[in-house]
Amino acid sequence: MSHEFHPPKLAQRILKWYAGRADMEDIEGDLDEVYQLNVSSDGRFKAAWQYWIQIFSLLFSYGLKKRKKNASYSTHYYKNSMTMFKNYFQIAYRNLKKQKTFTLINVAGLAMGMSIALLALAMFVELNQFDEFHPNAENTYRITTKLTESGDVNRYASSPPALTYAIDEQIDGIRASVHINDHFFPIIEHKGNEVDSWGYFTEPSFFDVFAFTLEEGTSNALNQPNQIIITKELATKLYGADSPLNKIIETKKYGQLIIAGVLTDFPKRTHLKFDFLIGFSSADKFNANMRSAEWTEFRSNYYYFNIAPDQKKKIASQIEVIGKSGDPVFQSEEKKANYQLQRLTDITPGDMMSDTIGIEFDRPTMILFFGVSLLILIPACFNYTNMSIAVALKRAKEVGVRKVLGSHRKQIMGQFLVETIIICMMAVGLSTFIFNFIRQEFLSMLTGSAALSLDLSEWMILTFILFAIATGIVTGIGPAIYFAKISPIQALRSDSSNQKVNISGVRKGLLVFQFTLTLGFMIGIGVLLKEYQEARGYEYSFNVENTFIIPTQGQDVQLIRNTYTRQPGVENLSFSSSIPGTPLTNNLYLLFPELQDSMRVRQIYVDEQFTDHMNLEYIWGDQLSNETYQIEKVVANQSLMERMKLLNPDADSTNIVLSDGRKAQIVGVIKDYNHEPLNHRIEPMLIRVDQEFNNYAIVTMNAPANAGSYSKLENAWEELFPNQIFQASLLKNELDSAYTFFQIGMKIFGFLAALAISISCLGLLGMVIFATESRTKEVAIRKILGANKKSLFATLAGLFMKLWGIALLFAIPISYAFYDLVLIRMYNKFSDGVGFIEIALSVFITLSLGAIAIFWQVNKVAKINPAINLRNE
Amino acid sequence: MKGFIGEFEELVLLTIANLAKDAYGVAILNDISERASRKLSIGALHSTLTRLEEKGYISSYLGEPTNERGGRRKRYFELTDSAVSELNNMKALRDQLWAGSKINLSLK
Repeated sequence: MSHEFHPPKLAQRILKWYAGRADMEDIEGDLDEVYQLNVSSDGRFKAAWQYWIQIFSLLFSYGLKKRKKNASYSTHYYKNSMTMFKNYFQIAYRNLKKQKTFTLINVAGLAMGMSIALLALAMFVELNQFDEFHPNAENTYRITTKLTESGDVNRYASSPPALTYAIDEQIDGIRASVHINDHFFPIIEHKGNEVDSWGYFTEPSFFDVFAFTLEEGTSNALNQPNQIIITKELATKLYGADSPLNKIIETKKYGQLIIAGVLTDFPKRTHLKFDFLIGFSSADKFNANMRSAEWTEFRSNYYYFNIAPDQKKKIASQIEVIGKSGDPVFQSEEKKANYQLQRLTDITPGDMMSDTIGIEFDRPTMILFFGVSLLILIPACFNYTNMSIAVALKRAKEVGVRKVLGSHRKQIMGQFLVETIIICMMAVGLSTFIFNFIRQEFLSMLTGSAALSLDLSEWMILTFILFAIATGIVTGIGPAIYFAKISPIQALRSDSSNQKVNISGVRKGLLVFQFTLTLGFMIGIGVLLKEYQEARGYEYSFNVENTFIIPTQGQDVQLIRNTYTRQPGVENLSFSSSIPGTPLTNNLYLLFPELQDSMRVRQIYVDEQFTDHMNLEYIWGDQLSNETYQIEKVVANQSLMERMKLLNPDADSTNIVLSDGRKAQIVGVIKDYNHEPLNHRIEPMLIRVDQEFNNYAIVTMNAPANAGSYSKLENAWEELFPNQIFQASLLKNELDSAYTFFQIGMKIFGFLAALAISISCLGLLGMVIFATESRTKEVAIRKILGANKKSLFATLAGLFMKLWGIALLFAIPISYAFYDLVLIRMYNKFSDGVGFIEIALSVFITLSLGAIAIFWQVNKVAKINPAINLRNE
Repeated sequence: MKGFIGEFEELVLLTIANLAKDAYGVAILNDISERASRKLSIGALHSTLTRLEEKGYISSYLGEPTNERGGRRKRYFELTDSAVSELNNMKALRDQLWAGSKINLSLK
C-alpha cells in the first residue's frame, strides 16, 4: 500500500465544512482507505477522481444528514441558554469589580460620549412622533413645489393657489382639503404690551383635515370677516381663566379682531405653528399674498388634503396633469415647476425646503447633528476597545482556561459582549443624568424648541436602552473577536513575566486620531473666544459708554425729550428707530425709473440730534434737520452713494425716488459705520427723520451709568407716564446681546470640546495606567541600575509624547484650514482670520492636560521603592 | 409483517453476518462489490447502514485507532437479534416460495 499520495485536499475540506460538527472519524477513515486501495489498483489520478465522486455522493447521502442532525442535538450544545447568560453576567460582574479603574474610566468616557448622541436620539424620536395625532395622518398630504430657475432647483413647502383650487374642483379622490396662507403676523396690543403672534388665513375645512377641535365657538367663524379663532395657549396668556369669547383684540396693522372661537389644547408636536386662525374673507383686506388664480407668486400658500389609502399614485398623476396647465405661466418667467406630494408624517424630519409653514426640522440638519454626536461617541468607543485589548494580557489566561474546558468561540465572544453591554448600560444610565442637565440648555438654543420637550418617556428610555445595547455590540465586537482568537496553548504557556507592553499600530492610530480631534476642538474654542473678544472689544464709531436705551413705547417723543434734556446728569440724547449695533431689518427700495431698476437699502428713522450724538462723521453735505420740506431731506451713508454710482454712473443727482413713489433728496453723506453687528456687511443705509418711528431714546449720561442714574431716569419716566413701566437697558448690554449667537456657538463648542477633551484624557489615562503598570518591574530594575527620575519619565512618557507630536502635525493645519475658511466666515466675515496666539494657547492647554495625566501616573510608578516592586515578583 | 427490509438492506445485513468481527465500512463495501459486482459509493452504503441502525437491525461501535487510517478508528457493525429473526423470516418466506414453485427453478 502506498502512502505517498494524499487524497485531494479541497474535497476533504468541502466535506469537513459541510459535515460541521458531525462525527466523521470513521467515514473519513473509510474514504482514505478506499482512496489508497484505488491508488494501488487504478493510479492516483483515477483514485482522486473517484475520491471526488465519493465525496459528492456522501454530501447527498442520508447517512451524513443523520449524523449532522445528531450532532446538533448533542450535549455539546453551544447556543446560549439562560444559565449561560447568568454565568456571563456573573463573570462580567466579577471582572468589572476586579478592574475598578478601567471600569470607571470606561463608564465615564462612554457616558460623556453618549450624552450628545442621546440628545440627538431624543430629538429624533420626538421629531418622528410629529403630527401623528392627526386622524388619518398617513393619508394626509401636502403639495410641495419644485421650482427650477436658470439651473437652480428649489423646493418650496408651498404650492400655487391656481393649482390647488383646480385640484379641489377637478379631482374626486380628495376627501377633505384645506388651503392655508401664513402671511399674517399681527402684533397684539394688550394692556400696553406688544405680543408678537403668528396667524393663518384658512377655511373651516381646517378642522376636517387636522385633529384640531374647538372648545368654544364654531368653525363658521372662519367664514366671517375679522373673526378669529385663537389657541388655548394664547387665550390663557391674554385673559387667564376668563372666557375670551367675543373679546376684541387690538392689533397693529390689522386693527380690531373679534375672538369667535377657542381651540382645545392640542399636542405641541406638530409642524404647524400658529396662535390664531382667520378666514380668507379677511385676506384681501390684509394684503395677504393670496389670489386663487395665481401661479407664480405662490409663496406662503399651503395646501393639505386627505385621500383614501392607496390612492397616492393616482392622485399624484392627476395633479401633474393639472399642473401642466400652469407651465406656460412659469415659462414666461423662465421657470419650471413640478409638484410633489409630501405625507404629513414625513414633514418632520423632512427634506430641506424653503418657505416652510412654521418651523420645520429638516433631515439634513438632523444628519449633521448625528454626525457631530458620532464624532464625540466614536473616540469614547475607541477608548474602550483600546483599553480592553490592552488589558487582554491579564485576561488571556482566563480565556485559555475556558477554552481548554471546552468553551466555544461564540461563548468567549458572548462573554466579552455581555461585559461591554453591561458597561454601556451603566454608561447610558450616567449619560441620562448628563442629558437631563444639558437638555434645557440645548432647547433654549434651538429655534422652534417650543414644540420639543425631550422628556424621558417610556419610548425614549426604550430607545436609550436599545442604543446602549447597539453601542455595546459595535464597541465590544472588536475586543470579543480578539479574545476569541486567543490560542489556549499560547495563553497558558506564557507566564505573566513574559508579557510585553505592546501598543499596536492600530491603537497608536486611534490615539493619534483622538488627540487630533481634541486639539481640533480646543483650537476651535480658542478661535471663537478670540472672535468674541474682538467683537466685544471693537471700538464703535458711535458713543457706547454711559448710554441707556429707553424704548419709547409709543409715547410722545417730544415730551420725553423735554423731560430728559432738563434732567440733571443727562449729557446728550437722541432718538432712533433701531438700536445702533444691533441687526436692522427695516428695508426700503430706491427706484430708478429710467433704468427700470431698484436698489435695496436699510433705513433708520432718527431725530435731528442723532448723527451728532452718535459722533457720525459727515463727509459731505448738511446735517439732518427737523423741519418739514416739500421733498424729504435724508442722509445716506457712503456705501449707498457708491452703490448708486455703480448702478447709474452717469447720473449726478441727489434726488431719489423711494419705493412708495415719494421723492427725497440726499442732503448729506456720512462715513460708513457699523450700525449692525460686526458680522454683517455694511449695507447701503438711509437715515431719515420721522418722530413717529422713534422707538428708542438713546440717553447718554455725563457720569458712569449705574443704578443711581437708572432710578433717576425711571422716576422721571414714571412722573410722565404713570401707567407705563419704564424699561431701559444699557447700550453696552444691548450690543452684547446682539452677539448671543457667538455665545451660543461658544457654549456648544465649549461643551463639545469639554467632552472630547475629557474623553481623550480618560483614554490617555487608561493607556498610561496600563503602560506603566505593566512596566513596574522594568522601572524597578532601571532604578536599581541607577536611572534617575528624568530618564524614567523619558522612557515611560516618550511614546505618548511622540503620538501627541504626530497628532499636532495633523491637527494644526486641518483645524487652521477649517476654522479660517468655514467657521470664521460664518460668524464674522470681516475678521482677520485665525491667528497664531489662539492656536498656540489652545495647543498648550491641551498638551498640559495630557501631560498632567501622563506625569501623574508615571510619577506614581517611579516613586515606588524598587525593592518592594521586585520582591513581589 | 414480513419482508420489511429491502433487497439491498438484506444484502448488507448478510454481508455483515459474513464478515462477523471485521464488518466495518470499507470491508462491507469491498465484499459487496466483489460478490455482487456492483459499484457502490461510501455515501450510499452509509445511508443504508444508517437506516438499518435506525430500524434497529444493526448496532455499531468504534474500534481501536488504526495506523493505516492516520490514527482514525473504524466503526464496526454487528447484527442485532431482530435482524437475525428478520433474516430468518425472509429466508423462510423465500424457502416457502422456492418449495411451492410450480415450475422447475433448478438450473441445468
